[in-house]
Amino acid sequence: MKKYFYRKILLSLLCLLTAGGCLAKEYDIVINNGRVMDPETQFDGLRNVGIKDGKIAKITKSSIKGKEMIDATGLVVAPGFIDTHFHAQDAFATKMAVAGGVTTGMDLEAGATPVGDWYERRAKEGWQVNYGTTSSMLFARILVHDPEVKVTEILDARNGQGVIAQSAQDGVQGWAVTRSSIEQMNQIMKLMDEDLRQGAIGIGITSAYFQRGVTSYEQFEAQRTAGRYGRLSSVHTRFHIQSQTPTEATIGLDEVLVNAMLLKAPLILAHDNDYGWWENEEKLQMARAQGYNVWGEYYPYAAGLTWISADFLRPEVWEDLNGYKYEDTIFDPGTSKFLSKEEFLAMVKEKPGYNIVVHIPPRQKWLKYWLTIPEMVVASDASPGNDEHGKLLPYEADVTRYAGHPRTASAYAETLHLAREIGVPLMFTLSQLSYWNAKRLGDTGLEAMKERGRVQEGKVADLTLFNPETVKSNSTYSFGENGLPPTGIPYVIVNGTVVVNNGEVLPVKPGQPIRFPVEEKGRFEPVSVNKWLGEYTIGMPAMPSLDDTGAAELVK
Amino acid sequence: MYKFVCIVLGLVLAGPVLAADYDLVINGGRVMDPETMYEDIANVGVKDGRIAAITKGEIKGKQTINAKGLVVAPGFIDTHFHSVDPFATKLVVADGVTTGMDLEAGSTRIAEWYASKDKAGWQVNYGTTVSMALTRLLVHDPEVRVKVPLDASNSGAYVDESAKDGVQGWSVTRSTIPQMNQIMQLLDEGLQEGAIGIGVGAAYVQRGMTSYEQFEAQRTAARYGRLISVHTRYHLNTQTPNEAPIALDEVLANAVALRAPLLLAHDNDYGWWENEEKLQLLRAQGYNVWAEYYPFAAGSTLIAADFLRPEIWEKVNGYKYEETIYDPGADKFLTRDEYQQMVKEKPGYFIVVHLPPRKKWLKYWLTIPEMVVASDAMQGVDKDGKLLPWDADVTRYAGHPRTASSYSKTLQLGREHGVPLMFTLAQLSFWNAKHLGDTGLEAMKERGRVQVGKIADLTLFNPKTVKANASYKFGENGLPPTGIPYVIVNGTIVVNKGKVLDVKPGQSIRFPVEAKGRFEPVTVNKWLGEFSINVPDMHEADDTGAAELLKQE
Repeated sequence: MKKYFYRKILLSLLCLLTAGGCLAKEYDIVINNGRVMDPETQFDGLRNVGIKDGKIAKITKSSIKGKEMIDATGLVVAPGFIDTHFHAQDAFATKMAVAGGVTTGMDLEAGATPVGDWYERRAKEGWQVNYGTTSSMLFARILVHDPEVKVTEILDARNGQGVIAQSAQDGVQGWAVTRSSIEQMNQIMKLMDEDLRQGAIGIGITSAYFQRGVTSYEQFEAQRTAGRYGRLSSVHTRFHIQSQTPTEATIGLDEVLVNAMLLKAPLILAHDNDYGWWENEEKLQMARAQGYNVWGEYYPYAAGLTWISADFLRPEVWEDLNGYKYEDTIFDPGTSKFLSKEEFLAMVKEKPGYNIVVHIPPRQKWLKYWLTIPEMVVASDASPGNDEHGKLLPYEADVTRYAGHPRTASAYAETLHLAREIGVPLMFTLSQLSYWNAKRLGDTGLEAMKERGRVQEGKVADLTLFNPETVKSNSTYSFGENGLPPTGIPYVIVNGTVVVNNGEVLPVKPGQPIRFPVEEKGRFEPVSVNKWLGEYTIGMPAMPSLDDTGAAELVK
Repeated sequence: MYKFVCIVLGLVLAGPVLAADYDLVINGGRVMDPETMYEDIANVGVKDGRIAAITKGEIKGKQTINAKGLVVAPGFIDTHFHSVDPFATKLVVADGVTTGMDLEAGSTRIAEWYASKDKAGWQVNYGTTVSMALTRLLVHDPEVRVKVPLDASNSGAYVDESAKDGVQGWSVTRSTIPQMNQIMQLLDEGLQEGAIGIGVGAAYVQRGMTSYEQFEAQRTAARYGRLISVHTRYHLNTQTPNEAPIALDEVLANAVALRAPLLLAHDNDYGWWENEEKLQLLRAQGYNVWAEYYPFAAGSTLIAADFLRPEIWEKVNGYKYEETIYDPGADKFLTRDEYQQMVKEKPGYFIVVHLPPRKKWLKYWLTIPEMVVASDAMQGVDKDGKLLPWDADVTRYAGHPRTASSYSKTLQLGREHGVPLMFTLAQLSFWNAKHLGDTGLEAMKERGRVQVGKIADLTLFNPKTVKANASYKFGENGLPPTGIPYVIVNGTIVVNKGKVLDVKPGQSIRFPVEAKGRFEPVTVNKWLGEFSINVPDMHEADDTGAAELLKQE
């Protein structure tokens, strides 16, 4: 033992003494002379980085050599950006995202099912960035509440719209509006538990889409189902965007936050970018100070994207309640102009499914503050790579054909750009783009995230190289420009493979799965009234042992 | 060592040494103390308002009660007590209550409120929170002239007055940041003057009080480590997405984030199971959060109440009028036609509303650990809504029977369902005292226990016969229970052989008055300083628009 120890020291010494020579050509890739920045250790210095077998093998001032050499003079060598809200589940959209500096893109909000098959298919296809998913509560609810929908394929953001459209054909979107009986709730939980057993990162809960259907107990039970594995729920809250008391957006966070705390289960608040964000962030910070693993996301845009027929755009709501004007807020990306009220109303009739850009005025004031909130992370909400007819584009299609929100192609470049303009310390911004995302996810036990989001020797070589003085987004709300790649992100490296080279996206697929290990047994436990009574009351001999609480009746 | 010798001597000589030494002796009762689980036939000696001895030896006092066949229990503690007038207090003390505090609705001008009670004298121990709803009235309805402390006994008239200009500001107006600060400053003053916490009737201000104002109210109490008692925003709502449990989530998330105590008022309706589960899970993590119930399946409200309309009552809830809407004056259920006619003729008439699911749920509440009984006792009014004088006959009381019989009713139901008596006593007294004591309230650390050295608040009842007699029928609303012959408050007998005596031994339950308040105003810039990093190129002045958003439409 001792002998071995000394030999190891001797070897190290030898290598140190002969650094240049000893290690020459030992690396697969060498990045020379970049400004290496690591938010975890706060390291910030000009260094050369050697990559071998997909990992960062060396960070040094000495000159090192590798099979591939990148001159990073003038560039920051940052941990690759990690996106926890990533509906870009198709090859084309992924191409845009990687050009924006993203090295890991996971759809934690909408999710997928069945998760085991999903990972298997992804591994077979190969992927440009690291990939992962939660189990989708929305799809689990479709499977249980819309049995008329024949589901024969894996569901995720790529094909979810089709299934959702089908579910409406019988006149009732069961998944959206039906409250589950206890039996149905158990079925839903069992489906999600199976996904968790298969390694899902957590559960994606888009409560706002089934706000009338999901009872508070079902929401609670979903968080408990993930909590049994110590895994997160990512929630698009029930009242997101609502500003009117008594159903303010913030109460939608309170609901899931208290569940997270009492279950000691991690929580991501999806796009905390609207009314009440200040209150949400305040509570999340206070909860983190007590050791709870809870955090919120934003994307750096003041506009959203939705169908023109969306209910909340009606004049009664949009004008009367919110006080907005159509000509200031409703933007047609096809014609690149704002719509008058008459034009808006006409188009609602003619093309109800048309996607328009909705500027939400207060966000313009709020946006810059989000850049300065500790542990609030950037997550793009990247959308699928559709053309203007809603059809998925093939990988090789030109980016000018993409019709969607510019956040898909440039949420990260835009953040870097805005932060530079208002003077946010770059290390802080990098934490929002990568490290804090990895840290919080790693704290849920996800090994793949413990070794990402850091530029440190021994960690995985997911790296984004950008020019801090020139980086900026080019994609806009105008059709033809929705998917333009940013300026100033010349290199992106995923698991030690160069994917973006001199700004060009190469057709390589080094992405790895971000996933928990598959477990032999699930952890599902059905809810039953009698079990509840056993746990939370003292059982009385004179009382009926069968459920006559009426709890099941009430949710029918 | 000296102390030890004294204790040994005391033990050895107990009987003879202490004879005739007590103000009051209770002989031969079954002494039950939920904290220590002590349960035995013993004699209790009371001296200077405290329990001075619990012994098998014979002891003597100036007064003696023969408690054979009776349980000697800690006096019942009521945390939801709108009976802040002498007549109603007479009803509740007959039911075994020794401390009655209005923690849910609360009062204003706390120092004056306590001073007037101290001066008037009171039959039971008294206390109050500072009232969020009434404080909102002071800020949002400046046209109402208020010159006295407000509480449940006099606020009705001011609430009526606030509606005269067409807008009940306290109820529907969202506060700007300066208005919110004014409200918090007044609440803080109440806390500085010793209020037990803040009473938040959120359901009554559900459209006016933003979630941030709710949060700030909890923080205002938390600066003192004190509780809020909340009648939540969505209480009774069964419809997703604003189901009742989500409103508990709101205040519970705040309680955890702030590490502040929380009392959930009357957790007796839809979602109670979810609420109790969450409260238990958080108590297991050390948070001081708990809830109340009263043991009745019916509530009492104005016949014109919005949620009784056929569109809601029949269509949404599926109830039938002839099974649920009871006229206490006529002693009968109303048909739909009779109901609708009465809404037109007497919109302010109080009727009894039976909530059918509560009949099934009620028995389970008896078995939930640390769920406590709190009566929601009402003011002592006659059928015209006028306060009755102390010496009025109890048959004149017009109101919910919970005022006169919540505690006897719980004992009766507990017996019928086989709930261990010690468990029920914990729900009636000990757990209430324990959770309140854990907020730092000294007066509650020495009540709710039958132990030597603790205060002699004691209720003596017959466990085999105790039962409620008050009913929903007018004339019987305030009838005293059977089987509670003695109630002792601070060592003084108030109920003697079932008769309420004209004595006022009640003490104030209150935090010490502090020299300085702890109010800190909310400002956007202060928020940015605390929760964001300051960046030089950003505006220092508030341009978040947060204040704008709260303005009235």
